[in-house]
Amino acid sequence: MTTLNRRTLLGASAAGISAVALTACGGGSGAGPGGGGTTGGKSGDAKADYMKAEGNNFGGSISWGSWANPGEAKRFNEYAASFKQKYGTDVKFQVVSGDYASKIQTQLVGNAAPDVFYVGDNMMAKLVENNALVEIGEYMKSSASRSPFDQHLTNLLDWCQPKGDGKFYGMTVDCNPATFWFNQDLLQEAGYGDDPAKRFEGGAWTQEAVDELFTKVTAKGKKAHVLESGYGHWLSWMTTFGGKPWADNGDCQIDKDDACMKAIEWMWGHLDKGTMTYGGSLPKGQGVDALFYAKQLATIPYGRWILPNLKELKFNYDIAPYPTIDGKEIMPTVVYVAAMGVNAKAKNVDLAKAFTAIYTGVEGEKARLAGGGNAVPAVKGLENLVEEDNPPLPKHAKTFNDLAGKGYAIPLKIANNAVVASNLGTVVDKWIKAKVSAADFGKKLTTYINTGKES
Amino acid sequence: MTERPQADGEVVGVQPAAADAVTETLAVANKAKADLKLQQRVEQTAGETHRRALRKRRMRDNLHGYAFMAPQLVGLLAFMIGPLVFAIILAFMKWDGFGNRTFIGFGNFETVFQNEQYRKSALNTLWFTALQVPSLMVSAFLFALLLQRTGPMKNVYRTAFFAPQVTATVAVSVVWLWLLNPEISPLTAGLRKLGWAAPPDWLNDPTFVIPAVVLVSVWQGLGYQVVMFMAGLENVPSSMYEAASIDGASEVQKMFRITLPLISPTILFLSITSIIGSFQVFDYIYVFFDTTAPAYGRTIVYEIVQVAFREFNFGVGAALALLLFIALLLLTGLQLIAQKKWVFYTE
Repeated sequence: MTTLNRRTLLGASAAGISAVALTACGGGSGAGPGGGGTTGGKSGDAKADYMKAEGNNFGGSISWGSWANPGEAKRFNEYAASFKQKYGTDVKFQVVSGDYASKIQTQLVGNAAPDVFYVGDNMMAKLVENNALVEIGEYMKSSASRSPFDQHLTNLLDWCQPKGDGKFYGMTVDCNPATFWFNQDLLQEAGYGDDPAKRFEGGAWTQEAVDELFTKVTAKGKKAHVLESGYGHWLSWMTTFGGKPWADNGDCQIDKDDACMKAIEWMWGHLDKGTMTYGGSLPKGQGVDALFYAKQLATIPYGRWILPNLKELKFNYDIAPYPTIDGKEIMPTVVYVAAMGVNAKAKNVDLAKAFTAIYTGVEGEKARLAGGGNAVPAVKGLENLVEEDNPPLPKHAKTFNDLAGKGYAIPLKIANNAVVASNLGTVVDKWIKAKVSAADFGKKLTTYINTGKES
Repeated sequence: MTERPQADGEVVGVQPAAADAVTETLAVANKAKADLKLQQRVEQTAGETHRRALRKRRMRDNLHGYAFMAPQLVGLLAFMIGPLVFAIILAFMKWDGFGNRTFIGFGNFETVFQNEQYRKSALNTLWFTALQVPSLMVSAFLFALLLQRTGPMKNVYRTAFFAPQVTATVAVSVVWLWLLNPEISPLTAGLRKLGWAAPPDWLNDPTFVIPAVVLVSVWQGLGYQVVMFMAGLENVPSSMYEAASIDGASEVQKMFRITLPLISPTILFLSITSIIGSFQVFDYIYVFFDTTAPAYGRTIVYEIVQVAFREFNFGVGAALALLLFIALLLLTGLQLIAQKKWVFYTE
């Protein structure tokens, strides 16, 4: 009989422990292929009762999942309860906490995903490629939809049709345009005179004006602006100064576009002079927004999501569009978005579509964003929501709507390639820290976005 | 004289009386033979019955044993062996986590070996191991030695040292994020006071990222190793030290001739588990840098998570994991071979 001596036990334990490394990668998702047909589940046609514009009693039940902080989760649950009251449909909301993309993916593979769920901009292409989502554009454009397609900000929907074929697999739930927030007190202390909002109204919010702002604030010993490695930051500066980063076929052409290259040179110039700070060089864990809250940073290109925190603070702030070459026009800049998609294996696809239409339409967005929301409506007709504070906070809150109406969501060339979407920030960080020249940065960036490989 | 026909068993040419005696003897012998056969048959039958009964009993015992082990075995099969085999298979397949899996031979391994960042991450992992394992073990051993001499306060200190071990790594990492922030860090301020004019920005300086992670992991892992070393030290018989003292051995001699040899099994165990743990470092990096860790701060397990769950390339992720697994097996195997030279078992 073999005895288990200490050596054997030690060896076996060690091998076992090391096996955990490998096991962890299995991910436990050994279920069969997850892709179903694009229709999936029980799909009816446009004549189903609940798809008609009239008739409120949908009945049935639907499961809905999304990421949510505690405040949002409370609001979502309230919305689910009100939906039940109004339409008779039992909506089961579940918060997907932690790593959202991988959890939803696991649920989809295991046929346990909610009927409708939030789709991040890095997930859409992969879900569509694997037929995990239902095409919803046709329904949204039909008369049955309670939220007409044209009512949505269609400029923010390109990423929901990853193949560019007019088939939409999600509708934006709301949006957050990158907005030029500024601390009015800091600008005054720096002797900056008229603030960016006033300059914009006067048609003088130009590149020279922002140069002056950065220089004066830096001279006062504060940080003027932080450039981060995420695409939203450098891309917004390129397009606001007239750059056209994308060719007609969707390929990246930054290195061939003069305005884009000039914008890069402009950013690099400020980084060299120290009038703009690179976010990757800030201490880790010290958020850029925290610097703005602490009155150490004069401007920040973030969305409306920082408003709840700013309301708690005691300094004056406002917003403006990004500066432009002519100083009076709003140019397209990045808008951060998320969408709601319908699971191809939903129990009742038609009911799920109807819920999605209502949720992403005027009714749903109003319910979620009114009374202290932290996003901007992605549908027309709710413009007043961002000005609900009395007086509006920030003062030029309507700029949110202007930016959302003019902006663009994640470009398809980035969203459609998971390698690029996942690593773009990391490679940009590496290049900026390596102090590559503006010309080389343009070339490297273009090659990477087009091929997913570093040149 | 005419000889009569020979009968069966009759001895030819033998007188009748003697023949009778022989016949009798033969009969006895035959009977004994038959008895022996019978006995053997009986024994055989009894043996078989006994063996059958034994087998039955053993089987019943085994079944009971397996029944008791079933919850663990099912868990082992479902959560260890199953995923392990699945991950090995996946390493040779192209799979995005959704659709069909395609066999691509060693394609994923080619991708792994051609990727410059993976090589860099492997080097980062090795660098982390080279720094963390000796630092952790030496410091834990020293603290254990000191704690041996703390008398009644021993348990208090032991609890204090162990506390970080039972604290969630995410919480530890968040606290250390602030401690490593050069603008507010007492660590940085302390270094300045000690004369280091410009202490590093730990998590932004390529040279100091891995040492910073080592620092945090040593701080958190110290308690466990201290407790293990203390247990090992307590098992060293005091009579040996007394005998050594009588023989005039110095403290250093006692350390190298008694203490270290006698706790060598503990050292071996901790070195194996520490190396395995250090190769799998991920959580600190993930909390410090989220999904955009710089090239100089990424480790192999971080790459596995990134490529599998962000880039939806589970095949390459599994190939990386399989290579890590093989590396750990080899390393552990080497340690177990080497231990024959230096590990001393008292039993």
